[in-house]
Amino acid sequence: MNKQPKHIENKTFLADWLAEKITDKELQEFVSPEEFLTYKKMQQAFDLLEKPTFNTTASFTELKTKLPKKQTVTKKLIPNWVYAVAASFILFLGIFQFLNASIEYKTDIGQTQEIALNKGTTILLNAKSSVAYSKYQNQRNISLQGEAFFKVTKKGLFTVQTSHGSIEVLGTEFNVISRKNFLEVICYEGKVAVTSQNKTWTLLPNNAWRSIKGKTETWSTDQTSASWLDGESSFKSTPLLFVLQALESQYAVQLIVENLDQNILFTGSFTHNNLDKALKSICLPLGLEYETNDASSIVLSKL
Amino acid sequence: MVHKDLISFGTSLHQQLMSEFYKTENICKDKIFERIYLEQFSLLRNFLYYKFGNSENAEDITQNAFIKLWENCKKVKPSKAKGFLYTTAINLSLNAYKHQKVVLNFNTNSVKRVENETPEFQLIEKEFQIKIDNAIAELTEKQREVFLLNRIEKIKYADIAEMLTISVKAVEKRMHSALLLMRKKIGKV
Repeated sequence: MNKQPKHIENKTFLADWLAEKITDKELQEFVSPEEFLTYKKMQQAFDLLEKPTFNTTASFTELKTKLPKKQTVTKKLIPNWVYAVAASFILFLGIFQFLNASIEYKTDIGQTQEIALNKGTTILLNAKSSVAYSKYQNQRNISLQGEAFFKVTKKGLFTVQTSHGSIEVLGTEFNVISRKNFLEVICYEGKVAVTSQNKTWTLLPNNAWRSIKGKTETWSTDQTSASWLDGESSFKSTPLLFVLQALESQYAVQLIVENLDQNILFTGSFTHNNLDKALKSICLPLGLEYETNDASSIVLSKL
Repeated sequence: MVHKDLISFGTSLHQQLMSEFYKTENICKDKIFERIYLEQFSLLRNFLYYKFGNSENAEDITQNAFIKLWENCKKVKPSKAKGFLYTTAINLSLNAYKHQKVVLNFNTNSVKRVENETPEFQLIEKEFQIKIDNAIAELTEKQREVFLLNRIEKIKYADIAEMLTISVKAVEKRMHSALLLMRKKIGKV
């Protein structure tokens, strides 16, 4: 038996034994019988060791939520040509938007704004109003909602578009009020052509024109400029409805009308810097009274 | 310490076919990525667990390694995915496991037990199993990874050697010393 040499040369007999390169019997040549029994016991215990278990599929589902999104592009669910079409469409839209891009100015209740356009034209925008014009066309075609005073230089045709008609001018000063069912134009200088419902009116200085619910009328005024520029709104035989609308655009209040004909006509003016005074200026001539309900609502009724 | 170009077990026909398959495929494809995941996740996770002895960390780090693989899916060839995963996971582990206590817990498989044992005998057996668990926890990192890959994952010494890029002799030495150390820790039986 060559026990001795084997013992010397094999320094990994336990590893060999576990890998079944050497037998139980051969192992006993290296260790004592008691030790052999212990190793045998250990070997059996190793077989009872359990593989850690977990749910790989569930962990993959979890992982998917953590993966960066950018990679999903590589799926190519959408063929490249779709991108090309989409890109051209967006480009087309972009050009369309570019050409149609408009600049808009808007004022809130009680605010006014002065807007300088090219060629020396100025727009003074009254409260709760807006003007807009195309960014890339000449700034001489304006759309208006609310009230504005225009000073236009004589450098080409200038047009104001409203929902009720258009106003064409050539070097003038004029005021326009455009509200629902209401369009009023007063010319202070030069010449103004108003076109509404396929009809055209020519206004000379101090001529005023108005259309209320499609009914038009003209009159003359002795004012040399729009009164609102001096902090006052003035009216000439204007239905109460529109006067109150003007009041609401100057003061942050809600007007409630009780048993009142809103078509009664009002001639006069109200100031922009004192609500109480303004209310009195409207109510007294018309024989009305007003009552402040709470901070922001006022009830108007017959005396 | 950075492990490079780890892992490729044997060269069975299946693996040859797989490597052919991997040559032509791209990890960025969901199907391929999922396939690699399902093939590799379990062993990588267990490997980290055996090596560093923290089950939760092992799972997190394995997931992070797969996230890194996904992020680099265009650069890593499918045939290199395994190596990339192990290298990344080990590097990620080196910081995460610093100063961490080894916490191993191998629930012994009661199903394998013989039914007609006396409760007293079962208790003694249970105690011995706990001793084994404790002894495993006290192995060195190198001994433990080899020992558990062989005993639990049933991976042959030669394949472990390839996996860890060490010689078979080194694996055998680690295995042998692991057993000697465990025998010492178990003490009198």
